[in-house]
Amino acid sequence: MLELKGLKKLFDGISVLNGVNISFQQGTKIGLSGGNGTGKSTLLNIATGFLTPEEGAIILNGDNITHFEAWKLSRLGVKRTFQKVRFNEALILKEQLYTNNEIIKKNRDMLEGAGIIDYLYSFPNEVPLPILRKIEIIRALLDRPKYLFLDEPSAGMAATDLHNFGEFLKEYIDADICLVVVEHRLELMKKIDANICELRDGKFVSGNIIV
Amino acid sequence: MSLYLVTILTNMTLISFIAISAYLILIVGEVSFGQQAFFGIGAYVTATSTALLGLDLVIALFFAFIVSASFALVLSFLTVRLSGLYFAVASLCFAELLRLSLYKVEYTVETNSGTIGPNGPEGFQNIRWIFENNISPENFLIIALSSLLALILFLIFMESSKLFKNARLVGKDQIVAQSIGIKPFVYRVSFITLAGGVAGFGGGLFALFNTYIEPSMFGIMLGVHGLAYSIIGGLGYPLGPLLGVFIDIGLLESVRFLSEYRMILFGGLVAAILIIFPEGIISPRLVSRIKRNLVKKTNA
Repeated sequence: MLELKGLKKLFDGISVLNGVNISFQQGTKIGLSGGNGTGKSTLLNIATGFLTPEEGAIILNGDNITHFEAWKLSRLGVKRTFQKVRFNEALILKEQLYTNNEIIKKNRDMLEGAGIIDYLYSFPNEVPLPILRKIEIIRALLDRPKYLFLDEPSAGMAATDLHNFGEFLKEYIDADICLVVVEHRLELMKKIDANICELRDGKFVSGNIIV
Repeated sequence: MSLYLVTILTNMTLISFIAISAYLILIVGEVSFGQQAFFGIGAYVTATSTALLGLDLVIALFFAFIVSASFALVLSFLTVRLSGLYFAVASLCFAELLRLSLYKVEYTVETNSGTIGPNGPEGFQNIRWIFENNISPENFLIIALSSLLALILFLIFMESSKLFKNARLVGKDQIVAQSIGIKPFVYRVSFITLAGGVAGFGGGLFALFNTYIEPSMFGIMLGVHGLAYSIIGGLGYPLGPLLGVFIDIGLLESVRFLSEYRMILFGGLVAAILIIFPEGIISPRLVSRIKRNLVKKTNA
């Protein structure tokens, strides 16, 4: 279980998170919603080690990992994707999965099912956005995460893409993974039957949520 | 081969070591203006090992590699929190600090063939290894060129390794690197250290070839040239820096009649190449495209 306890975060003196508590249990799906600037992305960045909170603790299976850097959390199975896809324009996508041929072969079904197998030898600028988002997720999945945080995965996606994307998540995210989707649109969260928590003014609206 | 050509080729080979060391640091996303210092350390260590201690070539160059790599390791730890401009400035300061310290190193021994040993601003004279071992300029070129070839083959071989792929990712996007569990620190430290060692090895060969070294030879312009060669040549493949050296020194030598205007031409050439090839001639994208075409051909 990944627990965030009493998180406080300030940016230039402005409080973004103000005593947030939440636990992420493996095998659950959680949607973090809330308007712009309510601290959704900040929460994700703290949970995955890209930011450190001013106050509060991050506990993974009982161990305090508050000051662990992001790479260490990633190795412990806490992985993420990015709101704006991050790819190297000069490398074909296969190289950007950062894995070996054996693992690619083993997961051929997933790559085919997700519709990305034909794009593996393309450069990022030759590929539509929904495919790039799937590839970011697959990059994380190939490394067998325990907790997977998606930062606004539906940003810039048309409704039909969104449906397809929801199906992809349902199909290929293993049941024992804790999937956390950060979004301000609810369609995708509903599609994957996520428990929705809403952030407002740096706190969860319905108090502390344990799922 | 004429002595002139042999000398030019040897100089090109020696400066390639600096270009490659600049390249290795560029791969992990930093710009170093200090590789000349490691070249200088390697030169002084090799001079001391051969002329003062009478050690073998291989051992002397091994020492040059190890000592300059150790200094680079110190630099990488000191700059662990610096990147971009700040790393560039720090590397330059570190290099100048080391170079200026050499002005204060004095330890000379009188021998039949003259004074040897570092003598402050007067430099280290009478590095007589090539005379004592009867190495002709052609043979020295062969030694230098084969070391460079070995280094390049090693780098080409490593290019497809996980180590180098991860290092390139660290250089390109540390956030993605961290998100897939790569610790940027490890790659930065190891590449800066390796780069220092490579520059030091080249410096060692330079000391033997030149038979005389002094601190002023290891100023910033040497490092800037090394950097420019790898940027012109491109960061896509280990042959990039060599191409940069070849284009540049080849050109600078062929226009010797322009005397002092040559450096203006050098500046203009760097600018022109970077306008046409913003990422250098052998850019990462070019290499990816070629690789992709090769894969398509083998699949077809």
